[in-house]
Amino acid sequence: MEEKEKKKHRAKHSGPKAEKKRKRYLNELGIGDEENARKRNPKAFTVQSAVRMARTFHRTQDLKTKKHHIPVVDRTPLEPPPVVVVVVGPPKVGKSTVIKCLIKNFTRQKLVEIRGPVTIVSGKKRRLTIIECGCDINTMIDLAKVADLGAKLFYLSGMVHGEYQKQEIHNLGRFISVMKFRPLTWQTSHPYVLADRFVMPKEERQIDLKTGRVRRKAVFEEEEKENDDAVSDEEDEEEAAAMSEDGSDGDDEDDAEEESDRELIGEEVGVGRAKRLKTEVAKEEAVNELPAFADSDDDLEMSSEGEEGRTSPEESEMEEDDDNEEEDDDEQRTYENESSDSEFEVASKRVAESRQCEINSKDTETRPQISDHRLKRKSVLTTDSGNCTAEEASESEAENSSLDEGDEEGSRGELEVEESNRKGFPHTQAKKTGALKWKEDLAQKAAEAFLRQQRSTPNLRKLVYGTAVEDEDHESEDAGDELGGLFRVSRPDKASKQKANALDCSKFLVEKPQDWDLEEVMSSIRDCFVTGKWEDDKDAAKLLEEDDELYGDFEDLETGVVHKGKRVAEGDESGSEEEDEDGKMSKPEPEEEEKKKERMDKKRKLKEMFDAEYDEGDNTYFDDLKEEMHKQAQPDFRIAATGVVLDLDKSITIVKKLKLTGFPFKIFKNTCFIKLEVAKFEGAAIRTVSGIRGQIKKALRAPVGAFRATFEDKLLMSDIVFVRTWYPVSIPTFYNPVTSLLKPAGEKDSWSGMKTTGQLRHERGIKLKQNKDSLYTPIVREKRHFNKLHIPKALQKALPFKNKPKNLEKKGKTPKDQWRPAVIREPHEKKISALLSALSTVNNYKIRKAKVKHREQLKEYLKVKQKEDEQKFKRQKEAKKKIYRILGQREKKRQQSSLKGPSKGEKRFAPNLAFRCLRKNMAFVPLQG
Amino acid sequence: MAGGGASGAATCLGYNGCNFLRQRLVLATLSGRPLKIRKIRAKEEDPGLRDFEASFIRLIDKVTNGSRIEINQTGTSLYYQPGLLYGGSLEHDCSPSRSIGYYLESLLCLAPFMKHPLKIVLRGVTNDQVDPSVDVLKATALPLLKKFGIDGESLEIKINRRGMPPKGGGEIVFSCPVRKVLQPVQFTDPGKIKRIRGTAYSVRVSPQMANRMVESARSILNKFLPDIYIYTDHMKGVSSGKSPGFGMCLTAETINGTILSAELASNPQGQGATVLPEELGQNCAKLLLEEVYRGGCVDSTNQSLSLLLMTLGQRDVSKVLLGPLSPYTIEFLRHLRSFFQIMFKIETKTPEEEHVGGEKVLMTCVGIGFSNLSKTIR
Repeated sequence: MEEKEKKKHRAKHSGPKAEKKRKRYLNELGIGDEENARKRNPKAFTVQSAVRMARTFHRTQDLKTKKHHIPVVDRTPLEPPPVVVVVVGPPKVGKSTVIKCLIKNFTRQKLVEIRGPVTIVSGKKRRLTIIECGCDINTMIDLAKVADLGAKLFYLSGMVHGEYQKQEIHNLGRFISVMKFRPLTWQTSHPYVLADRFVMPKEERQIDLKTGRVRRKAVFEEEEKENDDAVSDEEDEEEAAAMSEDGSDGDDEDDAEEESDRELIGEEVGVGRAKRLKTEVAKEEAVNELPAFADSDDDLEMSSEGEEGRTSPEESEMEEDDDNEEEDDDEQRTYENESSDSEFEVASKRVAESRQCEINSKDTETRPQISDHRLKRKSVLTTDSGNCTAEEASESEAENSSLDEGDEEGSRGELEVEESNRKGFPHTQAKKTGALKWKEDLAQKAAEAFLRQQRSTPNLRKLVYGTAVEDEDHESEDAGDELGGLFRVSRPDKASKQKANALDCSKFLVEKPQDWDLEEVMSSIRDCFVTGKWEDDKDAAKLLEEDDELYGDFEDLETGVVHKGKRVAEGDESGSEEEDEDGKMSKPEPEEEEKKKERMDKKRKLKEMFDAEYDEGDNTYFDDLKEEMHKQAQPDFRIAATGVVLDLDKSITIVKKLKLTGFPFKIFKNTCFIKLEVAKFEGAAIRTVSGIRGQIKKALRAPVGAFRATFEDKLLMSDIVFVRTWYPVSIPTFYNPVTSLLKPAGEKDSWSGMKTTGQLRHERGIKLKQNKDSLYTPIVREKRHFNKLHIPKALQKALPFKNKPKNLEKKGKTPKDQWRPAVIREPHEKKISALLSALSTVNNYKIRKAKVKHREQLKEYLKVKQKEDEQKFKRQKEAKKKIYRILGQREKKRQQSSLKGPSKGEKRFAPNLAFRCLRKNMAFVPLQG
Repeated sequence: MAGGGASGAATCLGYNGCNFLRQRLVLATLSGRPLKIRKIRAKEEDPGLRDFEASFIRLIDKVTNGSRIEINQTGTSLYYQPGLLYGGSLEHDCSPSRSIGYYLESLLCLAPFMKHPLKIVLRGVTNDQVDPSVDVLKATALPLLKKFGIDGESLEIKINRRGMPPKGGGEIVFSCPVRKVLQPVQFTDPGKIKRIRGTAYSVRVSPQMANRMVESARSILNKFLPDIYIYTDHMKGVSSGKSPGFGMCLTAETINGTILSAELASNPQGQGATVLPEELGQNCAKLLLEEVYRGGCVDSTNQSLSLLLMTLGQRDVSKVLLGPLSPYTIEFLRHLRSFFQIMFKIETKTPEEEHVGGEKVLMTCVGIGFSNLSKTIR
C-alpha cells in the first residue's frame, strides 16, 4: 500500500504556546508588552479634544450626582426592631419553602411548618421578622404598611429535594442581611406599628387557665377579635387554630398546663424545646431545694417568657419589672409566646415528652409553693399595669420597691379583690375599703419617690431655661432702696452688675484645677485615649469573638427563646438529630475549598453591599424632587410660570445725578489740563459736549481741582468737559402719627392726617418760589460764521486738477457793442405765434388728461393682476405641499423598510415613485408658467 | 439710612447690660429681630460702650447691609436693627484691648450665612489671656464648621502676623464659603484621643522659649499618649507684631474627629510677673487634661457655635454630646430660646465606664430650617 502522505504541521493559533510565540515575535519587533498599550503608544492616549474631555467629565459627574441620595439621619434606636421581611406570592409558589430555607440558612435548624411570623437573628445588630403574606388583598395592604423589604424579585432556579438550592438561599440571606433600608417617604409619613401579639392582662389569663382549657380558649378568641384590625387576619386564624389544637392535645398534661401556660402551648413547638425543658428541670430542682434561689443562667430567657413563677420572691419581682418594662416600651419586640405553632422533629419531641414526665412528677410536689409565689408576683403586676401606667418606668420601679417594703398582706388582699372583680363575683365592702386605703398609701409613696428622684438628679433643662426670674428680682430690689423718700442711693448692685455687665468671654475657665500629678486623677481620664481600655463594642478582638458567637443565633417568635447556633452541635439530643439531617443534605467539604468559598462569599457580599447602596436605592434625589413637584401641582389651577428669588438686598441708597462741568486751559495732542472740581474721581470717564470721550488721569497741585486728562481726539479751547456723578441724598425723616385706630368704630375712615406742604400750598393758592436757574428756557444759539476756505497758492499748484479750486470769477458786464439786436414781429407773425401758443395749450391739456387716464387704467390693471397673482400663488403652494407630502411619505416608508432590511418590494417600488413624482411635476408646469 | 420694612415688624427684644453683647448682636442679625440694649455700664465710673465693643459694632455694620445702629450720647443704650449679611472682601482693625478671637468668634457664627463669601483681614492682637486665640479657633472651630457642611478650600484662617498684647500688630485672614442650608449632625460619640498637636509660639523673645514650653508640656502629656507633636512657631521682623510675648495652644484629636483644645499665653508686657515657659507649658498641658476630663464632642470654647449651627440646621434632629455647659453657653441657650423660640433637650449622661472623665450633657434639638436667603442663587 502506498504510504499515506504525512499530515502537514499546523502552527498553533491559540493556547499558551501560541501566546508565547506571539509575545516573542512582538518583542523582537520592539513592541512587546502588549498589555501596556498606554506605555507603548502614549500618543494614542493623549487628549484628542479638550471639549470632548470636558463633556465626558461632565457626563460622568452627572451620572454620579444622579446616584447621590439625600443624606438620611440614622434614627434607629440602639437595639433596632427586627426588619420586617414579607414574602409575597400566589399560592403554591413556594413562599413557605423560601422562609423555611432562609431559617435553615440562618439558624442551621429546620422548621417544618410556618404558621406565623418568625424572627431570626441575622447579624450582630439585625434581627429579621419573616412574614408570609397571604393571598388576600387585606393582608397585602396591611403588610405593605409595615414591610421593610417587600419589593424585590429573586430568581431561584428550581428545587432540590423540596428545597431551594443552598447557594442561592445563602445569597438571598446575605442580601437580606446586608441590605440597607432607606426610609420610604410614604412609610415615614404614615407610621404603623407592627403588633404581632396582643397581650391580655396576665392575671386574667392565669385565672382562666386555672379554670380549665375551655376558658382559656375563650380568652384567646377574644384576643383574636380584638386583633382583627392588626396586621394579618390570616395569622390570627392560624393562631387560633393552633390554640384549639393545643387544647385538645394537652388533656393528659393538665398539671403542666396549670403551672406554666407557656410550656403548654409550647407543646407543639419543636424548636429548642428540649433545651428549655432542661433549664426548667434545673429550676424546679433549685426551687425545691433552696427557697431563696437567687439567679439562674437562663434568667433572660425566663424573663422574656415572663410567666415563670417558680423563682424566689425577690427574684420574681425583679423579673416582673423587667417583663413589664419590656412590654411597655418595646411593642415591636416580637416574642410570640402563645402562638407557638412550629413543629420540630418527631424524634426530639419524643425525647422531650419523656423528660416532661419527670417534670410532671416533680411538679406535683412543688405546687403549693409555686402557687404562693405566683400570687405575690401577680399582686405586683396588678399595681403596675393598673395604677401607674402614665408614669415613667423608673417611677414604677421605685414604686414597686416601696410596695415591697410595705405590706405583702395588703397586696394579697388586693389580688383577691382583683380576682373577684374579674370573675364578676360580688365582693364585700370591707375588702374594697381596705384595698382603697392601700391605694392611697401607694399614691403618696409614689409621689415621694418621684420627688426624691427629682431632687437627686438636677434637671439641667430647668436650670438653663428656668432662671429668667432672677434678673428681675435684682431689679426690684434696686427700686426699694430709697433715702428720705426723695433720693435714691445709686449703689451698684454687685450681683446683678456682674451678670449684666461682666466680661463677655466664651472661655470656660477651670475653677478648681485638679492635681494632675496624682495617679487617681490621671486615671480618671485614662480611657479617653486610644491607649486606654476600649469599650466592648469597639474592641476589635472582642468584636471578632462576638462575631463567631453570634452567627447562627436565632430567636423563635413563638416561644421567645433565643437559640444559640453553635450549641446545637454541642451534643443535646435535638442537636444531634439536626446534625444527622444536615449530614444527609450536604457532604462535608475539604477545608481548603471551604476557605475559597468563604472568600468568594465575602467578595459577593461586598458587591451586593455596593449594589444595595447604589443601584437598588429606592429614590434618588431627583426622584424625590420630581415627586415633590407632582405633589405641588394642584389639579384646580395650572402653574403658568414659576420663579425664584435670586437675590435680596436691604441697602437703600438714593442718589441724585450730578453733572460737573469744566473747561480746558492747556491742550496738548490728546492730553489736556482741565479746570474742573473732580480731582476726587481719578480714573472716571469724562466727555466733552461735542462727544469726545476721555478719562481723568491725575489731579494737579495747582490750580486746585484741576487735573490732567486724556481724550480720544484733540480738544478745542472752546470745548466744555463734563463728568457724570451720583450724589447720595439722605431722605428727610418725617413724623406723622396715624391715629385712625383711636377713633370710635365707624369713624375710622374719617381720620385725616396732617396736611403736607404741597396740599396746603395748593389749597391756598401759594405758588412755589422757583429758582430762576431751574426754569427751562428756549435755547437761543448764535449763528456761526465760518471764514472762507483759503488754500495757499503753492498747495493749489500741487493739487490735482480735480481738486484745484476752479476759476469761478463772475463775468463783467457785456459791452454795448456785443449786445444782440431786439426782434420785432410783424402783425401776421404775431397772429401765427398767438395761434400756435393757443394750440399748444390745448394740446398740453389733452396730453395731461390722457396721462391721468392712463394712470388710472394702470392702477386698475395692477389691482386685478395682483389678485390673479395671489390666487395663482396659492394654487401653486397647495400643489407643492401635496407633492412634498407624498414624497415625504414615500421617503419614510423607504426608511422603515430599510431598517427592516433591504426587501425586494422596496426596490421595485422606487422607480415607480420617481416616475409618479415626475408626472406630478410636469402637470404643474403650465401653472407655474 | 432706613432699614428694611419686613424686619421692622418683628418684635424688638430688650436686654440690660453689656454682657453677652456679641451673642445678642449675632443672634439678632441671624434672626432678623431688632434689639435694644440698655444700661450698658450705666452705673460705672466709665459708662457706656468700650472701644472694643464699638469696634465690634463697626465690624457688624461692615459685614451687614442696611443695618441700623443707634447709640445714645453716653453710649449706655444701643438699638440695633439688623440688615442683610453681605460679606465680601473686608478689612477691620480690631481694638487691641481684646484679641481678634473676640471678633472672630462672632464672625464664625455669621460667615456661613453671608450673601457673598466672606474674606476679611482682621488686625489686632492674635493671642491674649482672655479670649480664645486665633490658633485655637483655627484648630477647633474650622473642623466643627466642616462637620455642618461648611467646607471647601476657601474655609481657612491664615495667620499672617502675630501680635501680642498690649500693642498688638497681628494680622489674620479669615475666609469662609457660604451655604444655603446646614446639615443636621449627630455627635454622640467623641471617640478616643489618638493624637495631640499644638503650637508653641514666641514673638520678640528668644526662640528657645518655644522649645522650652514644648519640652515641659510633653513631659506631662507623654504619660497618656505617645503621639504628640507640638510645632514651634517663632515669628520675626514685621510678622512678629509690636509687643513681646509667648504662649502655646494644644489640641487633642480623637478617632472620631473631635478636637479638644487648651491654651495659655504669657502675661502682657509690663503687666504681672514674668512667666517661665516651663511653667506655662506644664499648665497648658494640665489645662488640656482638664478639657479632656470635661470631654464631649465639642470643646468648651465652641459649645455655643455648635449649638447655634444645630439650631440653624434643617428641620431635623441634631444631637451633640458636650462636656459641662459653660456659663457663656448657658446664656447662649437662653438667647437661642428668645430669638429663635427653640429649646434644647438637655440630658445629663454619666459615663458608664470609669476613667473617661466627668459627666457629659447630651443636647438635642430640631433645627428651625434656617435658609440663607441672602445668598444669591446662580
